[in-house]
Amino acid sequence: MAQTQTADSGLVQRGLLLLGGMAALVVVVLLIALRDSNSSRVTTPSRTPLLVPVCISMAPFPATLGWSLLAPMSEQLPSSPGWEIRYNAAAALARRGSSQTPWPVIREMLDPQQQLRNFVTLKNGQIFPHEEEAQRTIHSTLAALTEWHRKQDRAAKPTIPADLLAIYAQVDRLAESGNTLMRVQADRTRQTFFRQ
Amino acid sequence: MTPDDPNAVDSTRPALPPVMPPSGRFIAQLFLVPGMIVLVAVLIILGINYLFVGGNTPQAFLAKLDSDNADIRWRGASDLAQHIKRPESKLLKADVKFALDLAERLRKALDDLEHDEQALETKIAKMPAADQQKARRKLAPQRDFVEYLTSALGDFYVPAGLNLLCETISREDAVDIKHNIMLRRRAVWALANLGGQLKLVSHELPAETKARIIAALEQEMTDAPAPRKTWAMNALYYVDNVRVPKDTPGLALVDRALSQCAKSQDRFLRQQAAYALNFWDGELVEQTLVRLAHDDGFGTVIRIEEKD
Repeated sequence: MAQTQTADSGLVQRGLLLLGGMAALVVVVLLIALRDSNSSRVTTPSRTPLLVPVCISMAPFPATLGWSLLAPMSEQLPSSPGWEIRYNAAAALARRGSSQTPWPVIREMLDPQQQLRNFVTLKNGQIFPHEEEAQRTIHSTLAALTEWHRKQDRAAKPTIPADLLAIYAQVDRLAESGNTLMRVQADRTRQTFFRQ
Repeated sequence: MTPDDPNAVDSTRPALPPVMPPSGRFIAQLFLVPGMIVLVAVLIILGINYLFVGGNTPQAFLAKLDSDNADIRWRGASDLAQHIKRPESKLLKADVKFALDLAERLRKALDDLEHDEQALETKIAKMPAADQQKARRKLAPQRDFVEYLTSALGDFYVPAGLNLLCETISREDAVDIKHNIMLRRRAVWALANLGGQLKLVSHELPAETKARIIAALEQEMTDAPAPRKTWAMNALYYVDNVRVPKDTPGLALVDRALSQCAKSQDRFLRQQAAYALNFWDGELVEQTLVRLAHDDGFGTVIRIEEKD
C-alpha cells in the first residue's frame, strides 16, 4: 500500500512538471501569435516630421512657410525619383571600371543617412526605415568601388578626380562605423585606393 | 473487515502481476518496425518512379510540359524549376537540345497567346469594362505558362532563348498592357540570369563541357530548321563569338534590346535593365548605363496586383 502511494506521488510530480512545461510552451506560442507585427520595428529610429512645421503656420504669407526649416527639411528627404535606376546603373558602371562612373551618385549611395531615407515604408502615418536594405546598398557599392579600382591600370598612375577623393574620405568614415560588416568591407575597399 | 468494505483486500484471490516499465528494446521496436515498413514502401515508390515514370530527364520534363492536363503540366514545371537550379544539374543546364526544345515551346505559347488575345479582344469589344476584365482573366493560365517558360530559359548555360527574350523585352504594344509589362520584366530578369550563366560558362565550367555545348550548337545550326537554327547561331555567338560574325543576319544583340528597354516608361523595367546590363557586353552597354545613371525618374511604376 505504502509502495503504491509513493509511486502515485511520483506520478503526480511528473504530471505537474509536464503541465508546467506545457503551460510554458502555450505562453511562448501565445506571445509569438499575439505579438504585434510591427513590434520589431519599434526600436528602429523614427524621424522628426519636419514637413508639418514647414507647411503649417499661424502667420500670414510670406511667413506662412517655415523658411528656416526648409534647409533641414531638404536633408531629410529621400533621393529624387528614379534613384533605384541611377543606383543600379552607377554600380554597374563602377563594376565595369568605367571612366564615366558617376561619382556623385556613388557618393550618395555610400551615405548611410540618405539610404535610411530612401529605403522606407509608410505605414499608419509613420515612416519606418529599412536598415538592412540601406546597409546592403552601401555594402554592394563598396564592393563595386573595389572592383572599379581593381580594373584600373595602376602602372599608368591614373589621376583621381575630386569627386572620387571625397568618396575616399567617406569610405574612411565608414571604416570606423559601428557595423562590423560595413567596417570590414570599407577597410577592404580602401586598401585598393590610389593613395601615396 | 466486512464483506461490503470496498477497500478490503481479498487475500484468497491471486494478486495482479507486477507492473514493469517497457524495456528500451521494446520502445525501439515500436518505432523501428513501422519505420522499416515506411522505408520499404518509399523505396518501392521511388523505384517504380525511376523505372517507369522516367525521373528527371529532359524527355520527362517536356512530356509533362506538353500535357493537356494542367495539373501534370504545372507539376512538371515545378519539378523542372526546382531541379535545374540544383548545383548537380549542370548536365541539364548545358543540354542544348533541351534548351532549344523549351524555346520552341515558348515560341508556340507566345504565338497562341497573341492569337487568343486578339480573338478575345474582338469578341469582348462591346462588353462593359468590368466584364472585359473578367473575360481577360480566362487567358491567365496561358499567360502564366508563357511567363514560366520565359523565366525557365534564363536558367540554362545555353542562351537558346536569347532571340525570344530580346523580342519580348522590346515589345511595347500589346493588348493586355499589364501582362505585357509583367512578361517584359520576367524576360529582363531571365536575360540577367543568362548573362550570369554565360560568365560561369567562360570562367567556371570545364573546357570539355563548353566544347560539348559549342559542338551541339554547331550541329543544330547545320541540321535544324528555322527558327531553331537562328536561335542556335545566336546562342553560339554569345558562347564563343569567334565562331559567328557580328554582322550575321538575324542575330539578336542583347545590348541593343536592353538599350531599347531602358527607354521604357516603366521605371521598374528601367531599373531591371540597368541591373541586367551588369552581365552583358556590347557597344551600347556603356552609353545605356550612362544614360540610366542620369535617369530623372520619368514615366511611372506599373503595379501588378494579384487580381491582375
